Amino acid sequence: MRLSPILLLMMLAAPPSVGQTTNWDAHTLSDRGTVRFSELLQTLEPMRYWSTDRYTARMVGTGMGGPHTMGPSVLLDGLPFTPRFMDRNEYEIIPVSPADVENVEFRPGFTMLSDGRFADGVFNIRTKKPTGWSVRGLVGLVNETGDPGPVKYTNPLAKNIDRSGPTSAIRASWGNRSWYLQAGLDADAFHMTDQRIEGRVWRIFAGGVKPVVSHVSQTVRISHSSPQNSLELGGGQSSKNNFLFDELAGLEWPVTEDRKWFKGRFVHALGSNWEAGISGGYDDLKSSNLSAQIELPSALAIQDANAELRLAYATPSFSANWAVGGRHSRLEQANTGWLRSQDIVHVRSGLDWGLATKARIKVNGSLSVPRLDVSQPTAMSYVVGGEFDYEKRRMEALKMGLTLRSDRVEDVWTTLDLVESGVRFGAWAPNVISPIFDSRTESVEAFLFSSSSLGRHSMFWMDLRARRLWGLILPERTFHQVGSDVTFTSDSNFRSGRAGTVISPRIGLTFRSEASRAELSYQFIRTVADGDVVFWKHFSGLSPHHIKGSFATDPNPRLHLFASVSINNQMNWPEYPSLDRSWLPGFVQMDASISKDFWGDRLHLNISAINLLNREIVRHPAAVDEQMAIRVGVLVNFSHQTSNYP
Amino acid sequence: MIRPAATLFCLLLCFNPLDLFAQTNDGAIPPIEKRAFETIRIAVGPAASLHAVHLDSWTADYGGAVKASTPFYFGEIELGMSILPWKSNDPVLPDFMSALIFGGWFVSTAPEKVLKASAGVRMGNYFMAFDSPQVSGERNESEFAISSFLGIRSTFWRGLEGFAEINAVRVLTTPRLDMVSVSTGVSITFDTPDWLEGILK
Repeated sequence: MRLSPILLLMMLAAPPSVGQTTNWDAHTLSDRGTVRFSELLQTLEPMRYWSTDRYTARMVGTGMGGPHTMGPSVLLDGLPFTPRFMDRNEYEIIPVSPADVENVEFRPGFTMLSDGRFADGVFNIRTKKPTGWSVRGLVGLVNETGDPGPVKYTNPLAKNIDRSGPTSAIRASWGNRSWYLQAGLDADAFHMTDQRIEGRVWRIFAGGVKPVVSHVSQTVRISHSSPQNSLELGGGQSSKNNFLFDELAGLEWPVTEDRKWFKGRFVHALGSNWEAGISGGYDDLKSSNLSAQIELPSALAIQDANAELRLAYATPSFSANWAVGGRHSRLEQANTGWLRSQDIVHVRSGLDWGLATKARIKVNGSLSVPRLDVSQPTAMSYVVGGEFDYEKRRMEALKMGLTLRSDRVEDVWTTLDLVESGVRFGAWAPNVISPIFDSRTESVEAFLFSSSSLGRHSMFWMDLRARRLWGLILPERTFHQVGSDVTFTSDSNFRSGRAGTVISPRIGLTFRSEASRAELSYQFIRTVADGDVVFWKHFSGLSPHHIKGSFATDPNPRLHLFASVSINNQMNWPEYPSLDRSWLPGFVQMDASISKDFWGDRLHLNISAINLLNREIVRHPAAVDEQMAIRVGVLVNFSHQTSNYP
Repeated sequence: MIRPAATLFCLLLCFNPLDLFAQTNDGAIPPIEKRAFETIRIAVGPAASLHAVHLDSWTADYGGAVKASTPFYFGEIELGMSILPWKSNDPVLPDFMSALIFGGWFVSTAPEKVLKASAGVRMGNYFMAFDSPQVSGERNESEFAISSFLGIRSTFWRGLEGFAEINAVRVLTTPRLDMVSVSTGVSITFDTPDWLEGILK
């Protein structure tokens, strides 16, 4: 499994990763009526996710990494933009609203982005950049049905249940064919009034505190494009009052996350075939706590800066790129002091070679290593991928590929790294036992994708994927749950050297005509643990059989209808062995939306029914029971031109 | 088990949708796109509750309803509000005022006929304002509601019509509040102002 650094540097690839990409345009996405970016991602065909509170979704990509993975990373107009904390990607605070999105592309599989971080799947988001002066905004509300109403007076124990919003985003911008400037403000709130969550929060405060998660963020973006140059700059800050449920504690952590960020990229064309670029980013996170009855993890400060230089060469039949970069991370905890400082350098390179008019080979390789160990091959982490594409004609393609990944855990945004660095979690998670970090995680993933045209508008596709993992460091733990009370019956004891295999075939049909669009897919996930109980416990949690379908139609150019269904069979959560919550029943979720454009394209009203069947949906043993909810979204758009993209 | 909403919805399905395209007096079939939002009808009148489930401790008094409707690409759409005061039967419990604010869609029989029948569905929010506060200090509650209705209306002079309708409402509380109400009144139809038609289109 170990490759020499020289061999790695010889491997080249143009795309950020190998694997089949899926695209959704703005029209397709706006039909869905979502009011949050994270909601929008949940509706995309390959996406699997779970949630304890209905709103903060743990998106796990296609599920190949199990239900506890951080989830796919996000590229926002080409810039790595994934707010992270405690093993999760916080898609909720990405300053993009569904009204901003021009196009979403999803590519599964391992890769390394320009910030030097490994990603397991990538969302490539392109945002709208209207010309002239523009003001646009979105306001949304989601209300879960089932409040007691007048019964509150006859039954004092009756309580209101979850509601969410208002969520709002406003953008003011100016642009022409070369320049684009945008200022944005995002705000969101959701009220977690479910009794299960309130019960857990009661244990933290020893009193009644209403858990409301809220955040506000401000951003400024500048971009410039000309035949020779391309510039993308963005900066901003956000403050989130979070009630972060983490299985390290089995409890919510009432934490305020204050973030500052800056991202940038500049690309200059050197003649007709060569281009050079520089990119970089800076993230700063400071956590603070509300005063609570139990001792919470004291304040954390994480700083992370990265930069990369890139050179690329491209002709119609051949392209290659080379990049070198590095990042500096720093972790500090109040009352504990300075804990960790990391300097990691990386190189990336790639090749995309057209063998004939219809066949291509893509190969890429990325390598990172701590700066002080740069001469030691055993300290290196790498991901190497190769892919062969054969595209017979439109909608008829065959792709196959293989990716190898080997890495040491070196990322301050992971819980494992915080534990290993010596972060103290107080009485919130008192019995965390630090793992022995002498192992590296290795994995190999193979895929075969095939698509066949079924006429002018339809396509059948098949994506077979298998991933083998070695050397995982996983927590061994058992939760005991009675009602809202979740307690450990074993410590969160990390075990190294866990291994297993995940196999997942997916098949699907897509249909697209002038006025209608439909998707239907089926995914089967099989976990082979080879007797490794810790691996099996950690990789259970997603239903093995998953069917997802959607249909959108425009009976009139100004009226849009959307309906979707998701069918999941029974899920196992063996970490929660007590009572009936060691497994969760299967569920069927049906959603429906109707949208109408008013006043030209200036006003867009959407009403959605989520979980139309009003059947109980539980996505996690410690989660709320999701009932039917109504979502209302209003988008306003005063733009000279909708988009400057062709 | 009473399922008035489902019953009315089945009746709604019995309407012949081809009536939407029935010939007008001049024999021409107006294009649907052209008819949409062309006129506005405003209706107002009293309302009363006939039946309510899970509101045994309260009795509804007479209230009122107001709504505005306009032709849509298919059928017609409407916005409206219905208000009903509820008197407590138990001195311990407070009275409350309810207001159902709704949007809806309905179809009607051929417009050239003197007596026209309508059926449709509505969705809205059911607000309740109580006379005394709860333990938490709150006085107001609200929840989404869905309803279906059947109605008749008859033209008696130019754009003036009389109407009557029966409405089955389900408020999506736990437990569900199921209600059957009636309302009657008069409506006036007029051409949509150009500026408003521009916004709606």
